[in-house]
Amino acid sequence: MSSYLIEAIAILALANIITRAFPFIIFAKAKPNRWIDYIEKSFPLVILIILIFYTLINVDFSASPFAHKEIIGILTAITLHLLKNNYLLSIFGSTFVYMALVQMF
Amino acid sequence: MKEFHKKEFKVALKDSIAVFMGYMVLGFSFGLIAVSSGFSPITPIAMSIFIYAGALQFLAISLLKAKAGFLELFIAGISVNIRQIFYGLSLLKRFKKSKGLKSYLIFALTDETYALLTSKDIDTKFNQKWYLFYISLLHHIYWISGTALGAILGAKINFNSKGIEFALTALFVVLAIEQFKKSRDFMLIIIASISAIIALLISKDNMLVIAIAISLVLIILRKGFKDE
Repeated sequence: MSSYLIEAIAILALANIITRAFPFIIFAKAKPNRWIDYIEKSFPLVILIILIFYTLINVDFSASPFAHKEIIGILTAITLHLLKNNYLLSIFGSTFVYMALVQMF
Repeated sequence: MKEFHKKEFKVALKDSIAVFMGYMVLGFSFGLIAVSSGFSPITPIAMSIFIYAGALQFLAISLLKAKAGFLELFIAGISVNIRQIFYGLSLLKRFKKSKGLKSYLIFALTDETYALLTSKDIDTKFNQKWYLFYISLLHHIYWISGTALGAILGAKINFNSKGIEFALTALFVVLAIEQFKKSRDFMLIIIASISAIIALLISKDNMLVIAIAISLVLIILRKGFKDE
């Protein structure tokens, strides 16, 4: 690796650590606060839903009108998970269904 | 090894399998793309060890290829990862008692690790800090292994992997279900979906940051109304 690459990777690593450590440094001494408490409790579900949309950001709508393949994949994951409550089965199963849909049609 | 906590490790191994496939697949694609962009395998592997942030690493390939300046790299790094500032908020208490391991837990707090740690209720009989550490470490190992495999073998494997990236979507769906079971707060799903759709309409490139900002405003407004 060239020295440019080593330095560039170090800078990116630093930027990453700064964003991850920020709340722990800023709120290290904060007293329990109902607002922080509220965000702490409701934010995980909100970010997960946003991340689901984010993973689908590059869906090609001409190949999949109204994202029907993605919706079928997601419904498969939800159904499997509610029925069997097994992480691996839900993830493998719905990915398999989705791959079959995009490769065959 | 004196400090090895077998019970915590076993459960962490089981729980981390949810992320295993997602990280192997994504890491593999990352390694493959990096090598086909002209980097030697050691570069993507070093990135996965030291940067350990999926979206940023994918972006970094094109930045490094263009020999971007250090300031530009730093700004790109901060802006791609700015969402993570909010992640720590949900884990302040959980990480409080993790002396010694806390720095690593914070460094390794990716989207998926955050999602898993906030979705799982931890058995109180457990030594929390070691459980958290093993989950984080295993995820990191999966990410590095996926990258290495993709960088070294990627070009040689002939396999139609089209659509395999859906594993990550499925992972988030499953974790969202687990999270929903805790609060049964359907309104949060609506708020998040509206925020994501508005953000997508405003700017695809900055979707995450915009969506998070809108959703934060909405959940704070809602809390304000509820309290009155």
